[in-house]
Amino acid sequence: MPIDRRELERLIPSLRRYARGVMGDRSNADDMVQECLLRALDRERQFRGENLPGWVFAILVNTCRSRMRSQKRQPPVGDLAEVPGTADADPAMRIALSGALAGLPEEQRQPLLLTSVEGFSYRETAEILDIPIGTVMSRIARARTALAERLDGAPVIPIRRIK
Amino acid sequence: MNGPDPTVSEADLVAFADERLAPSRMAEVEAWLAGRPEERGRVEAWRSQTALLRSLLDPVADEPVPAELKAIVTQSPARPARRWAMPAMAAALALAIGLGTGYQYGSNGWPFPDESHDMGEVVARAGYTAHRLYTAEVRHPVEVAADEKDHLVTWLSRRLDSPLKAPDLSDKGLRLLGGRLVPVGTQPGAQFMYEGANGDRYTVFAIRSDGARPTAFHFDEWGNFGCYYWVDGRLSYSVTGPNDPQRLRDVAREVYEQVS
Repeated sequence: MPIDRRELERLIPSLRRYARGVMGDRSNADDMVQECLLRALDRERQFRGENLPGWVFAILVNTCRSRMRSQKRQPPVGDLAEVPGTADADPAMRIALSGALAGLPEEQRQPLLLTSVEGFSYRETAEILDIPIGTVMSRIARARTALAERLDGAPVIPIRRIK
Repeated sequence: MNGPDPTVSEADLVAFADERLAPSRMAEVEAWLAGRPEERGRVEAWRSQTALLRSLLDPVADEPVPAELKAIVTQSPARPARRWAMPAMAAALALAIGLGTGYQYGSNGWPFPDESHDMGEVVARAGYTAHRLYTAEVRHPVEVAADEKDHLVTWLSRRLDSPLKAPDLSDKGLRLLGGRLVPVGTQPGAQFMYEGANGDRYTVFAIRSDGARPTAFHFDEWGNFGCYYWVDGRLSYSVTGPNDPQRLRDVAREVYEQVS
């Protein structure tokens, strides 16, 4: 069924944020978002009208996945740290975190970002990634444990919630 | 309270850190953690990660949306774009290269089969056909060469009755070879041809499309060739070249920026 153009447009900022977290650098990330939007509009007839964010993110996930496979690459370490920072973010911590994130296997990075940053439920994340919910939980646990290990010893800053 | 407790799983801890358990379960896990400072520390660290990840990535969502991404959505017609089927393409090609014998496509002549023609498809197909036909020419790839660029642009603009530009693609390593007038059904089409240092050729194709709804960038491919095309209101464009989607997109974007 037809996609509401305004609703799709409102998703672009979060699609860009997600793609940036997965791909690392800006131009690759925006390429993925562009591909995703074109594919979503091309496949409009397949949309059944339930959950547009979930449906579009599933397309983005697959777009990123096939790009990563064809390039056989991990996101460049440090690129993410170049995101214009918020005033109170410690640059050293940003670099450490983006490096740690880039070092995660893609299969762990995706569910972690979908739940913690994009705010999808575990069930939605399972549907987007097309994996069982138990697998989502165990991948997130592994991602979090690995991130904590990588960040251990990195400069510690008092955490202030930005949003 | 030592050792693993089957009542609280790793999944519970993840959901607890994310504050996504039912309130009663939150309380149970909280109580379980009370006697396990190490586990408690892990969960606290996970919570900090969430805040850190958001502070790292949220600024991306606050950036202004690039115009080209926005345009894909706002300029897309409500009807989904169709990709043409192979048989139709083969027929169009056969006609275009003179193998069609007496076959008429549509009532008012190829490539405008009916009133509901999709201008994007028309310009993509015509641009591709002309690309195959003329880039293969070694001695006469163009009708008017680049050393007469001003004349070329004026002439084609007059024939299409619309101001055209021959995009400058030198930033993309492509130099203008020249251009030609190409028939598209009974209408004039304009082709500009470019060549890279390694001899790769790209063509930019434009036809009139008065009244057609503007569309987003679309991509299609035929074997070794790829094509980006879009409808820009009065004119429709396609950019055809070797099927290296990233390079082609790069070139097509440059064209888009210069002509739109």
